[in-house]
Amino acid sequence: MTGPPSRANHPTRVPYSLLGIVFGLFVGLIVYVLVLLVLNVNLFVGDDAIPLTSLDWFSRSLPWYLVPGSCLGFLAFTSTPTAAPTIRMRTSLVSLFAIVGGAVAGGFLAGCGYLMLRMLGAPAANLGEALSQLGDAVNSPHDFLRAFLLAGAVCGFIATLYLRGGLLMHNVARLCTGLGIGALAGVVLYVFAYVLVNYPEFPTSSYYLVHFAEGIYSFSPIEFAFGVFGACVGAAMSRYSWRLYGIFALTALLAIVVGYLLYSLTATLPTVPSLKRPFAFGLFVAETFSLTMVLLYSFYTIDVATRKRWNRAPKATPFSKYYVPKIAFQVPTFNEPPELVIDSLKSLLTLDYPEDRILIMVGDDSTKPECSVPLRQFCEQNRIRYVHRTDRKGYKAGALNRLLKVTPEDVDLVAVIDADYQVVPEFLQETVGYFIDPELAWLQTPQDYRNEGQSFLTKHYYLADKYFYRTILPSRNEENSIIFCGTMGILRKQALVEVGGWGEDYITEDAELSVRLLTSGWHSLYVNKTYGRGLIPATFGGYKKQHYRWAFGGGQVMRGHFRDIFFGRLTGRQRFDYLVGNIHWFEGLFLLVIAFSLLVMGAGELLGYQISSHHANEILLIGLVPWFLLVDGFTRLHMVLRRHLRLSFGGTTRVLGMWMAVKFSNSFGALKGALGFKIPFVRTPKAPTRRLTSGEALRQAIKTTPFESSIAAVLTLIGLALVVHNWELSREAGGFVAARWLLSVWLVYYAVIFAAAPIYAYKSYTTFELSALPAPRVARARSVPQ
Amino acid sequence: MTPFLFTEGAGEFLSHAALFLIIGGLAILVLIIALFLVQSLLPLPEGPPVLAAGKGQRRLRPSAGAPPPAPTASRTPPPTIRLWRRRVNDESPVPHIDRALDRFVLEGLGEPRILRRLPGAFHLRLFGCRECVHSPRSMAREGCVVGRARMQEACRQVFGDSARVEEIACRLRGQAACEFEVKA
Repeated sequence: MTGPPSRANHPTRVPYSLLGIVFGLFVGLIVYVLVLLVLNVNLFVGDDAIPLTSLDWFSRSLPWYLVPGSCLGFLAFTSTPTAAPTIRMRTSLVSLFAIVGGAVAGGFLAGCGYLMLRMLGAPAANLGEALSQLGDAVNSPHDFLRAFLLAGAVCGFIATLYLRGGLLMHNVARLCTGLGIGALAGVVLYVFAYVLVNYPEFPTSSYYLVHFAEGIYSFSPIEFAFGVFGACVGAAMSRYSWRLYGIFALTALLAIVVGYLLYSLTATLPTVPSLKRPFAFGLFVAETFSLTMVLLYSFYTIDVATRKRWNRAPKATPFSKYYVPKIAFQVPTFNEPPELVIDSLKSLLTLDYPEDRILIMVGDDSTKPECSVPLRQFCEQNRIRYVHRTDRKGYKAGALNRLLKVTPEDVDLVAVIDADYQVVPEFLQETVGYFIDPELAWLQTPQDYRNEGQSFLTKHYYLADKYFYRTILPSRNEENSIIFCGTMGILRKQALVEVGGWGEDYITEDAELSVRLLTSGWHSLYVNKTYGRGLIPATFGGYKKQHYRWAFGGGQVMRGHFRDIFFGRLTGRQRFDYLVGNIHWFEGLFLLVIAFSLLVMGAGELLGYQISSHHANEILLIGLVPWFLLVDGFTRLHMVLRRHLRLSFGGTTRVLGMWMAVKFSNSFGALKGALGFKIPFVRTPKAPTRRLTSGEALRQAIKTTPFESSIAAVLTLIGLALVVHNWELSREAGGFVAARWLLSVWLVYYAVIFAAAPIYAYKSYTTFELSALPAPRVARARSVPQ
Repeated sequence: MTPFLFTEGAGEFLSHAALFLIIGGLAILVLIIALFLVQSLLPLPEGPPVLAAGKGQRRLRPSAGAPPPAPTASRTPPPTIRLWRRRVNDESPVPHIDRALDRFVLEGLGEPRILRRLPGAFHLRLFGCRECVHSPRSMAREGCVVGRARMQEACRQVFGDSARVEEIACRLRGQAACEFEVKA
């Protein structure tokens, strides 16, 4: 049997599918009624309003709502994994009647309230007169009664769903709320645009509220379309329990990106001469990718910043003392300094866990005797299992597979720890208990570091890394789509063996294993608490190599598991996360295309050639891409880093630079991985060297980043030359041409992005402190097993 | 005056709609960023940020939620009258299975270990089962009858009368170890 054990216990979902069809029919009917009402735009008030009785309630279009509704209901109910896979028909019918009753009651109450208000204005003399007023209100197209009835029915519908409770009702109520909030966001967006475009003088106008009211009251088809656009965003995001401004922010961002691309397609690209169109299209593709990435990154930030509830965030509660699975710690190493590995092993020996339930194993691939001999001696003295390989087949994955082969049968869990990590004693006490859930395949804790004060680079690497572990992984954890990060994680041995062990063809075997485990139906968990600290590469060379390897592995995973990610047994959100997690490595390529386009345009301007892009006439628009990348990236990073690490704006800027510094080399790594190239597993060099002088550091920085340095230099030169050129032109013409100046600003801006790599490299070599490495912890005695 | 966006032609209409999207989106985003910048000027509360956990979790929680409740005199708790059905995340505290197993261990009946937890059930393995240790292995035996009964008694003391214990494997029947399923 493959997959988690409880999978086989799931009973048939027939009742759910029937309920889905019925519910879909009901929703289809409601949508039909809403569309019918909304299409009669002046239904509620006005002279041309249509009486309700004259509407064609049973038109031929009704099946077009009922049939897709039932199909969607069927699909939604049968494909959603729920806590209770079946529902009793009686319960579901009662729920359905309760919801319909709630909607009717809501409408009735709202109608009664309206009539009471109306009677306060014009009191009826007796009951007969009151009833005749009611009849007039129902039949009068000028009355607001219908609006009250509709609003009351919708409120009653949602309120009943909430009150009725249960998983299904809860989800439907949440969906309805999301639809409502999203539609509101869409309409607000429309109204802002309406007023800004049609009444640009509104800030100084005395009637600005009237302008906004006019925007709301316009009831145009485009307003309806904006409402639907927002409702779609709200519905898609409803499952995440975001706060109101989260939905508004994502709707706004999506509107900007969609609007920008739509405008390029419909207004600017068609104006480009056909000969110059390939250039314009290349730029357009790069912009599309970059803007999409901005949107995807923003999703994670908004999720973390605005989420109200964390349903899968582990609780800090004690576990059962009767659940004590046997765990094997596997420490792969290759030519690491023996004292570094021994310190790590010492920390494992201090773990607070029954001694007979722990096994420590070292997989040593070292080729140097000065590395392997002391390690072997230490292992023999401390009853640590030492496995030495003479061939490095499969690199780290091969070493782990070898260790897995010699792991005793009675071991339940396998923990993978990098050779430089020192683990705190309570690691197992606080994490192993989660494996009582038989579907849990792996648990990941954050990677943290202990040499962050060693150089300018380590300090900012430490902060940049926090973003991933404080934002991306908590968000992904909510949807069971985290990755195994290669260290400080625990795996269920049964799951690992079932999926065939570690993938030796992949350089990032951890991320690749995660895809296979998730597609096999296993679950994952992220515990957002530091239990161990390792070493960050202290120099830029090491940092770049490490990220290059990760990016290469991301490309390999995309190539090898393309089918699994798109068509495998993953949920929609898991697909999304794995797709974003792997394609974000390619972002640098598209930034490069944009930079190249700017370079060509700037050079053409200097040489007197008109290089046409689709933004030739709207140069201001091209500024949107880097501006959004800058503002959004900065804002989201600062939101998280300020909250978690109390960073200032300056600190956030420097962390942003860390990402930019390796973005381009990462892209090439990812591209090579995706194209099927092979590179050897390069162990990240963490051992410190020495601080360099300024001259040595500059030479080393340029040597480490030749590509980025060259591009930055060319962009700076062209940008500055353009500034001088524009200055001369402005003096001659006696005028100021904003577009020309803007182009030079973008050139310099991109030059700064590319220059981040040599700048960080230089700083890493000149600020290096060998003494900043903390001393190993004093080992504590292991507790007495119970 | 014909308002903006109500012009002829699909291409023109779409480009105007796109500008509407950009302008409206920018307006909202500028407001949100302005609010955030104002917020970032205010001091943060002391202590590390805490992610607000939901009222309960559908899966993946420790075997024990809250600390064990105080023992009650009555073994059968009175039925709770609820006006509405229970909400999804509204879970009552689960009595700690450790309390039941502690009683079992105190009686010297063996050393239990939890193997896994399934929805509404725990799987236990019993090491050093007192009943099996001194008995010869025989397929004819019905298993650890006394051990199962005592474990059920211990579980009912904690979980109430609805708790049931079933033996799913027994050394006396030739299996590797005694295993029980506690349904609570």
